[in-house]
Amino acid sequence: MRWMKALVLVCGFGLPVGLVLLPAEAQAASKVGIKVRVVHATKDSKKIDKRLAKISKHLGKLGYTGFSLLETESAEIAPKGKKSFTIAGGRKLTVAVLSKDSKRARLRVEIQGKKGKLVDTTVSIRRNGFFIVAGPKYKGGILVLPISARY
Amino acid sequence: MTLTDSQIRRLQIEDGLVSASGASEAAEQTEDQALRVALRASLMPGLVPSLAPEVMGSLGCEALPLGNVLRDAAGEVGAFWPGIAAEIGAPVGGVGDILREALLAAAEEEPPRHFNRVWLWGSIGLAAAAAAAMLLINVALEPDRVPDPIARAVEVVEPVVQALPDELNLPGLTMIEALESETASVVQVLQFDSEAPTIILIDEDTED
Repeated sequence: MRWMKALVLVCGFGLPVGLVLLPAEAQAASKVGIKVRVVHATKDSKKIDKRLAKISKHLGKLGYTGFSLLETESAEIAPKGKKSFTIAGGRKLTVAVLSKDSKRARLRVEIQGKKGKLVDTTVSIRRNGFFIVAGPKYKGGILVLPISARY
Repeated sequence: MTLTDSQIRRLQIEDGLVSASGASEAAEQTEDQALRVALRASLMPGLVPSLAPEVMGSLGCEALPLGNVLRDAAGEVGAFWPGIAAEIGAPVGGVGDILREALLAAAEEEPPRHFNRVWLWGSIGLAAAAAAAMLLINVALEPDRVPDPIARAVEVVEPVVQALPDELNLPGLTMIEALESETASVVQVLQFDSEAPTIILIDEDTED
């Protein structure tokens, strides 16, 4: 008789709890890891932050010689969700994950300056890939924002 | 009972003491049949008269069944239970009522120990729902898992190296669906080569 009680307890309590918890785990697995690096590019320096070594050859094509990593912002965003960051210069950067599939993710990126919307773009990037938004002026140079999406 | 000569002769023939002659067999059979009839009549029991009416008649009673006579003689017999209940201190009610009340009280005091149908079907339903949910979750989490006989035969090994590429190694081609700006004077999309990241370059007139 005890095994029947145990079965009832498992079926009546354990499994519903598991069913409640498992979707949360599945939801976490479906989120997209967004990472934004805020890089200051200048022409006054030739130093390149070693943390930017992998993309230095791409940054060099922008006409700047010195690159320093100011900050890194990251967030786990579920599809249909978005996250806002305040980056150097007091600008507000908002990244929204519109959708994703096994190969690509659709993102909407907005940079809001004090005078208005600096950029508003919707892109589709490769899974675990990245793209760059560059150009906001900052301390004699510009900001370069490599934005990656991993899932 | 004495035997006739023919009967004695027949016994002698059967014992093999005397040889049988065909002329006398017909007469002997007739005599045998007559003997059988006589024996049956003498051994058959006679008609047995019923004793009860004779006995009842001698007693001066009517020839009624014995049960009816006893019932008439005893008169109306009362129920035994009230007397027994009074002796043992039980309530004077029907035995069925007492048993029913006792069973209901026992059922209220102790839950049924047997695994009734509600629990059984409830457990089966929950188990089936859980199995279906687990299957859906597994399919959702691992859509690439395909039941393949060959795949089952291959031993699964843990990956030695993380399969995901390092960040910022492979940018991949970016498709721009929409792009606008309110404050930038120039907006450019740069793609230096196929392995380079797509760059959206904004040219601000002045810093914010």
